[in-house]
Amino acid sequence: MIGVAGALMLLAADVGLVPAPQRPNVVGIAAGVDGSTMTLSLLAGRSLRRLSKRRAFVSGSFDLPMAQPDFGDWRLRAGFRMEVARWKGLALPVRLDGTVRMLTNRSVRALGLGTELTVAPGWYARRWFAGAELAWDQGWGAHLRHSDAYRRVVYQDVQDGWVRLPGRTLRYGARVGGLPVSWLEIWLRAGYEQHGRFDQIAPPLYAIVGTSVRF
Amino acid sequence: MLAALTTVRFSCLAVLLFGLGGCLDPTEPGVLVHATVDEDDSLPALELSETRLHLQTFGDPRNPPLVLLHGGPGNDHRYLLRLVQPRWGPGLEDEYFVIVFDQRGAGLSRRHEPEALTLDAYLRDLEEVIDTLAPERQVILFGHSWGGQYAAMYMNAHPERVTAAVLAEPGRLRWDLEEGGADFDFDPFAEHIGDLLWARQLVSMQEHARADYVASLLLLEDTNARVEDPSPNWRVGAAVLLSLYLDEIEVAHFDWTPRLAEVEGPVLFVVGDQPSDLGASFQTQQLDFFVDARMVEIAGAGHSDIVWKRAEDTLAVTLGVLAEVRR
Repeated sequence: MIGVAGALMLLAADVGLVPAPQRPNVVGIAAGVDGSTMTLSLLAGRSLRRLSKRRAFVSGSFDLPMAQPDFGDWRLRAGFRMEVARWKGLALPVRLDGTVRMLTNRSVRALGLGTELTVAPGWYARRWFAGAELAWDQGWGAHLRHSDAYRRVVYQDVQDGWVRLPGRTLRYGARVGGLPVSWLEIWLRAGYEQHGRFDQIAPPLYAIVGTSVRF
Repeated sequence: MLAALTTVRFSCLAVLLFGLGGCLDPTEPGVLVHATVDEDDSLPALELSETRLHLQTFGDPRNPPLVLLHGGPGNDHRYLLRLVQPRWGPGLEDEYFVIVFDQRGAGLSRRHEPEALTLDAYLRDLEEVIDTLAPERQVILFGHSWGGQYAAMYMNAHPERVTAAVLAEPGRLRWDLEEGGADFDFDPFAEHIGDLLWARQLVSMQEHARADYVASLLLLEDTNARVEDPSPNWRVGAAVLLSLYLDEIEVAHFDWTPRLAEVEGPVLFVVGDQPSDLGASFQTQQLDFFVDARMVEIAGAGHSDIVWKRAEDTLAVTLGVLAEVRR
């Protein structure tokens, strides 16, 4: 249990408003159309007192697609957020995450490594926020191991190993949320996402609702 | 969770390795998906005026020509080869001059940009294949799924060139026909759709090779299209699947039926007995487009089983009906 709790605390997540120093810790949950038709995210993070003027925050998430959950597919994100500019309520937070993704199905077992850079210019008041978000999620490498069945049924000579620059997702959207009470935040993020020019399998949209508590 | 942390440590090591190079290029031919006829000269091919097809022929060219048309669109002809060379008994190659190819943009044929993947272009390709390999001869058509629609498109344009046809669970021959039963394509919460969506995050469908790879990962997923083993394919052409299927067939008001009654020979509909939107109840509507149509149900077979796992059963009824033509 201690290991699980410790690991959860190492995970990070984004929030709309960075918690104040009096309640620097955050845990939360989010769900929505996020890389799958239904993805559940566990969130955790902590604001950094030393960089409180920059509203710095270490955070992240552990995400599981839930349409047919099998724990073979997951995503781990951990990163750092900081405001690079602010004028009154108008702010420009920038966030950089490292990402690890796992995909397991009958064809392949894949582990992907990447980064996600998000800028979210908007109005960040004391109890609410609204802004745009632009995210560049770049996979820098992925390790692929194909199944015997895939070799037999599809491509016998498919190569296993690390592939470079396997994937990229761009997101353009909006975020809105607030603190109805000082220890609870709710938020919504939604927008357009792009996985590549041949990606028309599903509507190119994402929509995530989340809530977190601060303590 | 500890396993996840171990994975992270392993991943950090991998990041260092990236800096040293040696990683595979996913866009290079042959790395993730099979090379095409443009990338591998050893593949059997036929050059047409607008494209280059991966094409094979089997049997004596003096025998009646029979053209096999695969489904998808976007799949390839590999899964139809059991009809040509079955595990037991006579195959199509023993009695016919079999022409089988990967359609434009699919399988190991040349890739094309979406604007070149149209129904009109597909019809021109088939006309050119038949005129090249069976000039001034009548042909027999065998089409599975989309391949059955493709066959109807040709029969409607050239009914005089077709002596007989076998349509194995074809899709709609006219746009406004109602498909029934369980659709195996688009349940947004089905496992195979979930896996596909998740895979896009790791491998982008940015250009042909990666898009084809992601689409090909679907081939092993469970669908209600089969009862038993998945049928083999070399490569799913993602651009074909998206352009021809989603942009054309799903939205176009096509009608390939007005001249089907001019086909004089027998037309055999083959269906599996598993619940399917393209099963017997749906195909009953389509029998009436032909003057001599009949339907056979293959036991214990789903949509793809009828030409793969139960290929020999389908082959037996096919050879039986085609024997009428030869007599």
